[in-house]
Amino acid sequence: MILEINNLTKKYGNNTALDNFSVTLTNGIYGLLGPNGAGKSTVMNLITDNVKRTSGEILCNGKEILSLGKDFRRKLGYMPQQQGYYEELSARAFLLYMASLKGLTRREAKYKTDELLEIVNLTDVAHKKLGSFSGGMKQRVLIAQSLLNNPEILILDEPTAGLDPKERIRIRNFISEIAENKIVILATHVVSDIEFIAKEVILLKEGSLITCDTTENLLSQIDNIVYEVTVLSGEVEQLEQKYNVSNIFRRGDEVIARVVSDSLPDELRKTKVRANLEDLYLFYFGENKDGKSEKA
Amino acid sequence: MEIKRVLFNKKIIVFFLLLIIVNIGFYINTSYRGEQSDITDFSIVNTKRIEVLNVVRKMDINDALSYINSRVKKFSTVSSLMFYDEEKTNDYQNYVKIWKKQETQLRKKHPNISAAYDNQKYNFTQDEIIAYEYVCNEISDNLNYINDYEGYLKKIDEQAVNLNTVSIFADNSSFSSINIFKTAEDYKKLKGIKLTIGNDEPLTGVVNYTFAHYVVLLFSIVIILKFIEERKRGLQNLVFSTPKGRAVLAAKRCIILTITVVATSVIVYGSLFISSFLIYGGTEDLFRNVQSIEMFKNFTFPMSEIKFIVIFVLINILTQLVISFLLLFIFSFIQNNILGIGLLGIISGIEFFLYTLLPIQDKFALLECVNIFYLINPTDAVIKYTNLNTFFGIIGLSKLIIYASVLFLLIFIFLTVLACSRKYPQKTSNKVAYFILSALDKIKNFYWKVIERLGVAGIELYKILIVQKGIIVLAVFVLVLMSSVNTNKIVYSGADSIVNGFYEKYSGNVTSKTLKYVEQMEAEINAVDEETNKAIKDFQSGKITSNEYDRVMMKSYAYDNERKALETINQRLQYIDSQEKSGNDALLVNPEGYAKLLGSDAFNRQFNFALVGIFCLTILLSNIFAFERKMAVTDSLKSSYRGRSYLFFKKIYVADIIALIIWAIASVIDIYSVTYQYSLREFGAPVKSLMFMQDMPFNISIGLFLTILYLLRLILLLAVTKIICLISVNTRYEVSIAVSFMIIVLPSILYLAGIDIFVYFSFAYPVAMMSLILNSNGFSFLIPILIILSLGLISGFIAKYQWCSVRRKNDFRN
Repeated sequence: MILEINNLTKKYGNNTALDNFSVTLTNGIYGLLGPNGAGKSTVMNLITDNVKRTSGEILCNGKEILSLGKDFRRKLGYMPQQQGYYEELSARAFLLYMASLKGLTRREAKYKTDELLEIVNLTDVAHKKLGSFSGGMKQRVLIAQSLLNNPEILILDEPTAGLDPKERIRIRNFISEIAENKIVILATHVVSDIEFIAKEVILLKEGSLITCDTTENLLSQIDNIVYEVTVLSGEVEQLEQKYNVSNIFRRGDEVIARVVSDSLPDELRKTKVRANLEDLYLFYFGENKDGKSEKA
Repeated sequence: MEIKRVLFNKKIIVFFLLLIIVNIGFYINTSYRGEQSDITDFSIVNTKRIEVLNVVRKMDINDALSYINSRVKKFSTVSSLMFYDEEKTNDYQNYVKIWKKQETQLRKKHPNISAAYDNQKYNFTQDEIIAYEYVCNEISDNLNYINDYEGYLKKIDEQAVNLNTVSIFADNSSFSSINIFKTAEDYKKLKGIKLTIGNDEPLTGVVNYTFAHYVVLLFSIVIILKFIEERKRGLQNLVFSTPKGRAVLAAKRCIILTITVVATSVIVYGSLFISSFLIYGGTEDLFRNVQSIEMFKNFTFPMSEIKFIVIFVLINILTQLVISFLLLFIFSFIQNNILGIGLLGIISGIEFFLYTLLPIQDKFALLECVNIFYLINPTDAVIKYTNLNTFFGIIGLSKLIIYASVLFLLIFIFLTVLACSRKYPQKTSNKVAYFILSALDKIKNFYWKVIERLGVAGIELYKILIVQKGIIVLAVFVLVLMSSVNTNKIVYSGADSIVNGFYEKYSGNVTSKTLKYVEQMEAEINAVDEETNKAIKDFQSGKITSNEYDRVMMKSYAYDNERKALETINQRLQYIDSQEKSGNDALLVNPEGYAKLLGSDAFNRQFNFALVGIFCLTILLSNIFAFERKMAVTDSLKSSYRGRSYLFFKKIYVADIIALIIWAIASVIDIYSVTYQYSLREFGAPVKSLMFMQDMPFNISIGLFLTILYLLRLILLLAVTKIICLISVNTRYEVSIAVSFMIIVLPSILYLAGIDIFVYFSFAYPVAMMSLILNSNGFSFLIPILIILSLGLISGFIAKYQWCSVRRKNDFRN
């Protein structure tokens, strides 16, 4: 499965939400990272054909998805960011209904619904109304909904929002397991969700593609500029104002700040550490305090 | 803040305004459908009533009585003379044969009125004369009531004295004895009160209108549901943990509910009284004693009409408060809404049992009267004089209702505040509650297993009927239509019975047997007429005694029904003959039922049914697509394999099923409303067999015509559903219903309100159809039908295109 996105542009009046966005996706998980308003949801809405594009093309195995129409949608699984469900339907009734719309036969729908309810740990409450569910439970139902048709292209917009750590790990591992034969596009603010499972990370800012590469390659870009700096309590604020600080913690009596910067003065007590995706996020989308670290 | 959340809520305000409009609308409709509407137009009767009352009010009772009696005589004479004139014009021979003699007698009896009529001094239409006659009879009855009232009071007093001498009432401590004396004592308060004639309608109209009580109750229920909304949203723990989330909040809610009931009652009843006085007039009577109206003759508290109106509203406020606080208490005490509804059902069942089965004389009659069903509509208890034998002694029903209401109101308020402050939101259920809840869980699981078996169309239907409470709309639809069905059995006049008998035997082709029957009838009547003429001559020449003369005349009068029947039968035979001569097939068919089903008598009913049907359709379907946006599922649906065309057609299919249900309900009730009173036969006869259908541009069988008519109505409803669907695809949830209402329903309401131009924009008028068909030339009635069908078809196509192919232009989903 190859999904090619070529020069995709979406304008809302004078605002350009997505500007000549081009990537080629093959089977595997793609993390879509970017701050609010970066254009992540626009990309997803354009792939799912819920929003009219201004220009560009999206090809699925070489064919334009607009002409493929429902044949493309048959391959698609989508979980939007906004929780959409029927409060007055039970979880199982909702999934069976969605399964019918995804073209599953009655038997397939029942089998898949029960299987997914088990996976998202909701079998016990399958006959309860969705309206009585907690936010995390609803989120799990919606993840299950997106997987009903065993999609070849799975688009998940903030899938782990509202989930407790245990459920988050469970869902993340499940997505990782099923991603072998499909393209998974996973938009999130929680970078740890994709750090270890994403084949590639797509970085978006203000509608433009910054980069798309493997996590290792991206992290290698900042390998030498992530430090743990030991400071006094009173100096933390000053440090934060000047540099991109990704974390602050105490170790014994000392305060340690994790800083992403290639211009730290030598006099600081610093130790180079291994970069992670959160550092990368800060590197690209931080507030550019020292005038050098932000790459966008 | 709680007041703002509950009362100053956009949805609540819109719902309230809608209730008020519906309430006033129903009241006006009920007034227009009053008994006089069978004989003539409501507004004519009303105008004449005001006119006659203005004259009578200035007179004393005796003058008024003689004036009214002379009016009754005058208008009934003029009405008859008008009828004779009409007969002269229509069929002179028949007039000579049947009516001339009676006219002569009438003219002899009332020479002045006849002379005035001949000199065209009565410049009225026949409808006006009928209205005058109706109104004068009504005022005459009221005057007689007023005149006899002192006697009525005296009789009650005398009864007490007389019964006291009867041995079984001699025991002063018995209920019967105390009751007699108490009754006499209570009625004594009415002695000497001045009763005056006036317009009874504005007051009796509202007092008899029970729908308003349910409107107030419904709104209270909505407010109570708003109170317990926090449970559904999981906010109960949060609210309970705040400093003012317990007793203070409960007290605030009690105040809000009280304000709601008081304000709703004042507005609902106030708007009704204002509407009533605007429709009927009669504000000048507001200060006369309410006992001047016969309906209040046993209301033993002397007071003016206006004071009664205030008391009426206050009592209704009190009783509505009791019911509302009972509901609030139940739902405060029982945290589980389903259990609450269950308990309410049990209480209502017991109350209904007591209300219907306990005799009023029973010692336990207290339980019948201090009862939810009595409290919903306390008017009867207040205006009818009844004493109850209770454990605490004898007490008047009206006093009992008031005292008990105050007592129960205080108890329910106290218990509500107590329940709200003491009941924890999270509580381990006791054994009974646990048993009930686990049983309910099992039922719920079974219910969901059934629902989960539904396919896409089933779930779409479920969304409309259950999730969006469409089933309630359908139930109200059935109730509204059924309430318009007249279940009184028709009492046929002698002549009508003869005509019906004739149709029983001779419906179908006109045969020699038919003609022979008519000839025999004619011969029989002629023989009686000859005998009568001979008797008149013989009596004048003194050949027979007055007794013999009277006997012959009585026989002649007895044949009046035959004469009228023969006239009708001949008319219809002549019509059949004329149709056959014009080359149209026509059979003898009793037209009574068909006239009620299809003729001008049915126009109002058909229009109302069509309007209510379309209104319900609008409520049920205007959110069929908009609901998906509200639930934020549009993106998930549209990115599914079958979420566009397939889902669109499934939704349209369900919309059509809803239209089919509405159509089936309306059609069945429409036919039932006629067949309950009249029989419909000879479906195979050509439509031109019915005189009112003589101008039809085709002559198919009645059965086929009915089939096409009802099918066309269905097709039009299906077209209307497509227009509603188009609006729903394009608008937001709340907006959709408003836009649909304005486009689909409002023009018909404006037409109904008398703005004739809106007939061209009305959807109900073509759906009602018969008025359109019978008032059109040739096939021109097809034009509006074809326009609606085209609109439906185009709307369907556009809606499909918009749902399936049009993408959002922005990221805003709602």
